[in-house]
Amino acid sequence: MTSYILRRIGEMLTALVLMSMIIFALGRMTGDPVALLLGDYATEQDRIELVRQLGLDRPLPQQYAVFAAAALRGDLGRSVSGDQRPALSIVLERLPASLQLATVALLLSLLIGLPLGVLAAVCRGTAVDAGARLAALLGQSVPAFWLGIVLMFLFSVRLGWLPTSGSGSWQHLVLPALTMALFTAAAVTRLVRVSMIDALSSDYVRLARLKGLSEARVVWHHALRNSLIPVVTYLGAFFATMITGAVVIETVFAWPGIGRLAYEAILNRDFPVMQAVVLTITVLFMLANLGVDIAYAWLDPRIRRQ
Amino acid sequence: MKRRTIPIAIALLAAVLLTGCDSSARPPADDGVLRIAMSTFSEGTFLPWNGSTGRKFYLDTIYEYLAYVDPQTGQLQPGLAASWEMSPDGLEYRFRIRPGVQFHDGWGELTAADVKYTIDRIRDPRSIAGPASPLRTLIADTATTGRYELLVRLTTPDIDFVLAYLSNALIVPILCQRYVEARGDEFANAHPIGTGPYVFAGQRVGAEIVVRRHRDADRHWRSRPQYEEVRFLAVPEEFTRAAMLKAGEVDLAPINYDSIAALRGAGLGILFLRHNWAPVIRLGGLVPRFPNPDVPWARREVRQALNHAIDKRVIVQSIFHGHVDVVGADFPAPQWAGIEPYPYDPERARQLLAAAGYPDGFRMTVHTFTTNPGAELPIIAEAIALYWREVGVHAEIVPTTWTALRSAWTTGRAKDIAWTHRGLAFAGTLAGLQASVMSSSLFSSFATAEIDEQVRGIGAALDPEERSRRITELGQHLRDEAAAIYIGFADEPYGASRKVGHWPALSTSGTNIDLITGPAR
Repeated sequence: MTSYILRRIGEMLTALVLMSMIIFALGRMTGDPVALLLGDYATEQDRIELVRQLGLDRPLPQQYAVFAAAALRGDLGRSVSGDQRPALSIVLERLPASLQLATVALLLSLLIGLPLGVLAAVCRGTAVDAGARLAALLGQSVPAFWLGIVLMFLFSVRLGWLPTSGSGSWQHLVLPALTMALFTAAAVTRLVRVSMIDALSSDYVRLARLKGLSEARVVWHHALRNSLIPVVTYLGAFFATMITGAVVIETVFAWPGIGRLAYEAILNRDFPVMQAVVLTITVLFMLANLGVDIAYAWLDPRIRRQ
Repeated sequence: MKRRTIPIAIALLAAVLLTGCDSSARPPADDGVLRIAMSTFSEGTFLPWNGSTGRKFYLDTIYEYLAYVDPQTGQLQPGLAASWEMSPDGLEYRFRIRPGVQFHDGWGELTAADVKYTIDRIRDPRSIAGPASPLRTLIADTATTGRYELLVRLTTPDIDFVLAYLSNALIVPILCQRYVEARGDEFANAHPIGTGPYVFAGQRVGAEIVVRRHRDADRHWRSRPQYEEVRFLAVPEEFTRAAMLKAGEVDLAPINYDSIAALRGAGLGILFLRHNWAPVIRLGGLVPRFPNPDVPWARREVRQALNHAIDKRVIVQSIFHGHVDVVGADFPAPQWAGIEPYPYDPERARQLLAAAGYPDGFRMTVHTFTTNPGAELPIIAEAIALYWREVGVHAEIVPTTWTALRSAWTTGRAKDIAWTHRGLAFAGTLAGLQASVMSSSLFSSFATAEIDEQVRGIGAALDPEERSRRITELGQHLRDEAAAIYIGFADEPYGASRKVGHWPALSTSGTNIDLITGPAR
């Protein structure tokens, strides 16, 4: 198990280096921040001076070497805009808001998706099953920005139950988390349903029933536990998707997380912040997947034995 | 029976949710707090030299300026400078600083040294403030000649120096030298202090900036703000800002033209920043640094044809709901408000194209993007492309970002394309001309040696009337040359709750938040 984890960490570091190269090159393909930082009155001389100050006059490989050497020391550079604070601290300042949103959304999606999936499987072929499948289809088809706007209109503008947007209290969290959760809840519902249908027709469930266990115990204890393996497999991906996919939701709900920070950094071509955001997300993605692998091994004894 | 009851109940609930509530906006909380939603905090920084002009909304509540522009008359009023004199040759300005103005938190009295320090920091080579570049060029040196006296020497005469650079129309507010030097830039940026009627009370990064009325605000020399607290909220999405207005969560927010009717219908007020920007299409390859004689619009007849081909009044009505005055100029300048637009005349456009050697038209590319103000630019590009198609000009619309376009524009990669642009209002028209039509400016899109000479002549004119006449003359010349594809001067709309009765804002920027009064409108 230890060597497995070490091997995964080695793979993670390799991917991280590759990702840093990709984001470094891609970011620079569509322009630089110089023109945006220059005021409307700027001259060519001002441009040349700013390019020099930002180190953008050096060849790209040299720029990358400087960045990589600093990154190894934990320094991801300084934002090129405003007060030029360290890019990593800007990202870490906004990360808790995104983690909070993603965590609540993930819990909500499990709270909605798990029972709905189980219910659909148990009532397979009935109106309940059809309803659950329809809900799952809608949940995965409806664009997040549209859903967010509808929920905002309904619960904030019309009913006044919740704030439209912003942050600072649990009420602010409800609408963005729900918007984010509904997509994942739909996926969880579908996964659990399929997995539960398999499990409910398996030998060990039949044996449990023959042993006279209650149907509730058979479903929730025996069948569901085995059905959770594919769900857990996807949880890491779901969580990472929630962090990365938060750009739209954080923008619609004015949530001050790294999704919005990434969007702003890309618009402003703030290379150091862009790189710091992407590398942070990459690390989160990898850690989530590592966590999933470990959880997978914990849930399935066969994997532990391997 | 039970089977039917559930769907009926759900349907009834949905009906109640969707239609059962009043569609008028909820009243804002009566708590002495003014809440303002902004599309962005820009850099979110608090020192004038480490960010752009977009921060004026919140900076201007904390800091103050040497002079203030009267929003009604456009005339300059004394500010932190009680008075000033220009030397007869226009090369020296002598300021008398208002005595007795105190910095927040007991940092002492404002003096000429603070003014000199601030101006020098803003024109420092490391400064990224909007006016940094022209101030570096324009100011020869600054010197204090007494505790309350400052001398500023210019390299070239400029009768609009105070209006264009040192008034609240731009972003050279005065900071406390002792405070910044003692605490350092980083601390001063995190805990800004000034002389304004509000003091910085805190921020949640990327979400909220809060300023609170100074304890002595009732005795402030300039402004007695009505609100105990102002909260600035960063809300990038326009739909969300409109929803916040309807939900009574904010009192003032920039909105799109399409939202005006709905917000009015909900009982909200609409305020406008008069002639705040100009939608326009600019053309590449027309500046000496990056010339392109091969583009069809290198011929004046083609540019005129492109102007004649567009029915500006239809665009103004359908996209801007009438809140644009059709003018033949590409950024709002008071001297240009009367310049006649090109009349809509597709037949004349076809004739001009034929005379220029393009009887069958041509193909071109128009890049477009959204900004604030300027969310309408992509749809303007689409509308113009449809008009141009009628005269044989086929424009391909390419969505891009403002940053990418600026980068292409300033490095010569935009010399074979056209692009939508928002010409913003400048504090002084001369400064606007220097930025937009001088060969030396990175952001000019139409420049010639003759225009350079005209702009220099405007700068040298020390008589205001003579200067104004020359500016109008140059505006007419630019219009006749069809230096761009003009539409008009737009008023930028803001949705306002009942709390906001009167906002004496300047057309150049969202300033004077401390002067907002209410509630009757």
